[in-house]
Amino acid sequence: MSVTLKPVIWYRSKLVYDGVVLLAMFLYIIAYLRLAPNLQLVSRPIDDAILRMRAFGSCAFLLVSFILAIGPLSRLDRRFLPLLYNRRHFGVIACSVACAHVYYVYSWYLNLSPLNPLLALFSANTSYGQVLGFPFEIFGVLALVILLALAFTSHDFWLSFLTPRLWKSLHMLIYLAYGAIVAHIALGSFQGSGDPFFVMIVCASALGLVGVHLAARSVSRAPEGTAGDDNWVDAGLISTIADKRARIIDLGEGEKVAIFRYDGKLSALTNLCAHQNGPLGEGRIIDGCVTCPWHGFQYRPEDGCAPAPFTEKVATYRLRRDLDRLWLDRRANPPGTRVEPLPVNEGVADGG
Amino acid sequence: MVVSQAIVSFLYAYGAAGLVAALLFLLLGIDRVEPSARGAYAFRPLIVPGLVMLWPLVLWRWWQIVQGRGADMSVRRSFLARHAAAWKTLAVVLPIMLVAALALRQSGPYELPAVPIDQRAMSVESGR
Ligand code: HEM
Ligand code: FES
Repeated sequence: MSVTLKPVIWYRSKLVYDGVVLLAMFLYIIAYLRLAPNLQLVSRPIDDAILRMRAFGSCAFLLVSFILAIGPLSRLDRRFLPLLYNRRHFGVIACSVACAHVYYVYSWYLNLSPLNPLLALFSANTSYGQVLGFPFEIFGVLALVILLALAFTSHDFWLSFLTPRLWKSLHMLIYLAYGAIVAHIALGSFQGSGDPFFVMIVCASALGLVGVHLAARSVSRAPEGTAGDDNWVDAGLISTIADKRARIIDLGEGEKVAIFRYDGKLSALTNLCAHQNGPLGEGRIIDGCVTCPWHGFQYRPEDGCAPAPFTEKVATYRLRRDLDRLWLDRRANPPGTRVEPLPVNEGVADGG
Repeated sequence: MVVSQAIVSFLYAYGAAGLVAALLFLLLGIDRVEPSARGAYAFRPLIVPGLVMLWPLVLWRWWQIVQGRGADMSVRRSFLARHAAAWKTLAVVLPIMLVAALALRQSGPYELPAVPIDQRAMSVESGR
């Protein structure tokens, strides 16, 4: 949460994180270049440039798959949460690896032609009307353009300049990019080399990724129920919310509310952080403020306002109770509206 | 070839326009448009590639902010729903793509194990 923009904010944990990712990447590339020649067929020797191209291409694919898996994995198991903090650096690294892949593609496939490389790319194969021999490169281009756009706009400047809404829409393109990468591999590498080991890895990553996302969705769905008034929903038992933590209530249609328990009180805020829609309800109360798990933006639980000098605000919600059972008004208050916190002990003591 | 040539010329023109737009924005726009950029210079080179790539979007936002509009910083509640929709789509599209690609695959003669030539000649003869 910086007041003036800085080039890159690196602190210790981020340095360690980037270091581990880069190390893993280098080990993968080295292992690939060492091991792959042993697996090749005698009848089809692979030359160095192709080997590098494949090493970086498959590395980029695995990195993007892993990045997309971090979100649902941390929802399923909180131990993955630290990985979430630094996804942006991870994305930039994946994009650079993809660029290295394209560099080696050029140094081999397209260097054989005297044409301008860009021109060669679009004119080498134009059989768009067929599946076999389809110019799969075009899917790679699409994916690379998207990865570049996301990496280029990863600085906080873009978030505030484009507005979180537009920025988030832009970054939703990662799903299109992932589909394009899989198409690029399925129509390209699968048709050509068809290395069964690589085919298996690609299929397992893509299907596994879909699997964890579907599994995470079912986990975050909370029980619903309505009292006489349709606007009030059952939000579960107060006694089962941990201190300084939240329960997340899914109101349907993508709307989620985080109900925090702190200092013997309860307050409800939208689950969406005003910074990058981080899941506030997965954060905790630090120094009396709800603290987003992604980049640490803070909000006062009673009114959803960031403490001065910051100006972010999020929507608040009204709470009611019936002994230990909590009820939530599904109509959101405008961001920054103060709502009197609900004391935890009152009703429980009365009810014996 | 004509089409490819046209695409490439377009890309060059787009990039050149992007450079001009980026320069204008950094010189004239950024301090007015983005209060937190005032007095901060080190981050500016980092945003140049994005300015060049997305210049139509940049000019549009710049114009919007100068007009005093589009200050809507609120977050759309439907993002989670869109994530879910994106994953449901991928859950259908990815398996179809992978299965289709593997089903359509033609195994060429190069996928057979290598056999010494004289032996192959023998097996061909014995097959007759
Ligand atoms: C300008 C963009 C791109 C071009 C021109 C391009 C071109 C190619 C070519 C020619 C191949 C060889 C296919 C074969 O061996 O039969 C290939 C393979 C591959 N590409 Fe790309 N690509 C591009 C972008 C990307 C991106 C962005 C990714 C992933 C993030 C990617 C991932 C891969 C993978 C995983 C392979 C298969 C490697 C293997 O067979 O082991 N490519 N690409
Ligand atoms: S999403 Fe960045 S701090 Fe909440």
